[in-house]
Amino acid sequence: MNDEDLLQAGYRYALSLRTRADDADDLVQEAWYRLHRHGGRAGSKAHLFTTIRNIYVDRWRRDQLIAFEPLETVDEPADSRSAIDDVRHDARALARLLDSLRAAEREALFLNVVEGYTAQEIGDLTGRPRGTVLSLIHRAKRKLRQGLAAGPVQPSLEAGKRKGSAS
Amino acid sequence: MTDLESRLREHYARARLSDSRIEQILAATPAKVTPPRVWYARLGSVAAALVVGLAVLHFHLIERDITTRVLAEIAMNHGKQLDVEIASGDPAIVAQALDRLDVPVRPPGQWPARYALLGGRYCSIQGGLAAQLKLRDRESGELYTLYATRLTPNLEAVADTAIVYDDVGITLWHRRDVFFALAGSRTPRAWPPESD
Repeated sequence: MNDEDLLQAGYRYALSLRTRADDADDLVQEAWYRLHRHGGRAGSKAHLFTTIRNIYVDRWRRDQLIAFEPLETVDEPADSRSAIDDVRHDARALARLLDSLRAAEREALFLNVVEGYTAQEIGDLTGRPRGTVLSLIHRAKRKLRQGLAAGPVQPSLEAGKRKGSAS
Repeated sequence: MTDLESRLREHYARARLSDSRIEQILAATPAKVTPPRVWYARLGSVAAALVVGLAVLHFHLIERDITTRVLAEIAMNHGKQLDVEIASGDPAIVAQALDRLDVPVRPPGQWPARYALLGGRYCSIQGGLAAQLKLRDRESGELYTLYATRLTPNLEAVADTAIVYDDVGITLWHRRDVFFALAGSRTPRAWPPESD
């Protein structure tokens, strides 16, 4: 994998952690430079992902710039079916639904579905038990399917607070 | 593959850094640090005098490269004009909020009257955590960004300088254990000395 492919993969992974494009851009840039500064090991996607994740945890989770969200906050999509019915199945609808997921769910889903990681591999990267990872993936898929079936969704508590605090 | 999974893959496949952004990142990529033992193995058969000569040459090349890379990164960070994470006009409040930095987020002394502070955010300089303060020149209305990060051995090699890089006027300097940079209009501007 060349440098550009690595950066693109890192950017997509960063987007699974922070859905704001600016934040994802910043994450992958800092991780890239940090890896090169510390021995130039950015040739490995696993190292890049791990570094992106560490920076994400340092910068947002430990600073509590995003709010804790109970596990089942957004199980049911909002019941407002008027305005965006015509775009419920398009990319914007999916993006909004992804934005409404918890970061941990979005991350596990991305690693599993897009990157093809097994639950065990995701657990190794994120420090979560395999069972928890499976649960996160299952829950994320269920929310997305429900949301896509029901129509428009309102941003979750997490998404709302994140945008408010990061801008 | 389910429909949901294929749509997720399509969604993320569309998310891409632009070619110009990739070029920017790669242009500012720090040099790889080769472990010392590798150098020893490579140079083991070379005469001591040659080693010294190479080391001096290597030092000068690195020094020149690191300055260019830092300038490129500062210009890039300034050009992005990202939103501040802590919106406040009070330097003390911004400094308190950016408490993950172990160095002051601005040069010491009184805040210069010519700049209105808009807020701050974290960023990185050569892989190290840095503060980026966004300022507005009260007279011209131009936006400036001020950077502070811990002075690392690499950054020590960056000489104090004022230069235009990628159409951004940049001033680099360090004071004690902090590396500072001020980026703004096309004319590099020094941090007001009266604030020191």
